[in-house]
Amino acid sequence: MGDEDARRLVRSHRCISVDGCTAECAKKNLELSDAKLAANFIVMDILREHRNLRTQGVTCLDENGRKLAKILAEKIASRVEELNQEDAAT
Amino acid sequence: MSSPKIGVVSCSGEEYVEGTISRIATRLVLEQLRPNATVTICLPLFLAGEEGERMFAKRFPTIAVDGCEKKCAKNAIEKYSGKTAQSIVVTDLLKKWSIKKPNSRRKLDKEGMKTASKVAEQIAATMDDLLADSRRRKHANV
Repeated sequence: MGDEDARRLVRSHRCISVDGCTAECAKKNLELSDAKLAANFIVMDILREHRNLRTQGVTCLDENGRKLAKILAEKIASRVEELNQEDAAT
Repeated sequence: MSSPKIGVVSCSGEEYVEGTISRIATRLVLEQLRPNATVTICLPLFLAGEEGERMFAKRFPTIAVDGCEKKCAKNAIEKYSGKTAQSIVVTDLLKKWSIKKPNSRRKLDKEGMKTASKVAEQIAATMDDLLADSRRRKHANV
């Protein structure tokens, strides 16, 4: 929405976008704000890799949904670690 | 004949628990309270410039459900599609109802879910007012 503090943050730090669907709105909004995009995850991609974890509810996640969220969280954390290691190596 | 629709645009913020309450309350309206009259507009998609979402908000009444005083949902709709029919701010409601905000932003506890249900009822009541007003206008041919 053009919040200057938020824009400053995404321009001065590397960002990881996490999108629910292939419309990739988080990524697009970061790009529109000239953010430093370091990685992009799409939940549907992760779901494709773990088809057995399709969640039933939208309002509240069921057990499958929580498992999928944990897998995604681990992938994001792993990417953050890689980025930190890249920083340390330079 | 299809029933009239109202767009509900929820906060997508993650910084405050009120954002979580906004989203869950909106889902409760969509799934349980007013499933036939509600269309949710995806705020990130709307902000990214998707024409369908913006056109809907131009043609149909919208209710912005914001988590905090920044009112991003209301401001976004009014910037790109025109005036919102109503604006609901969760922090204001919690203050008005003297409800303590839940601790976890990730998963609402029992009390948090009760708060989200109360916000959902407020959204539904606002929708009923708008629909009644629309029927009155139609009847009076205004």
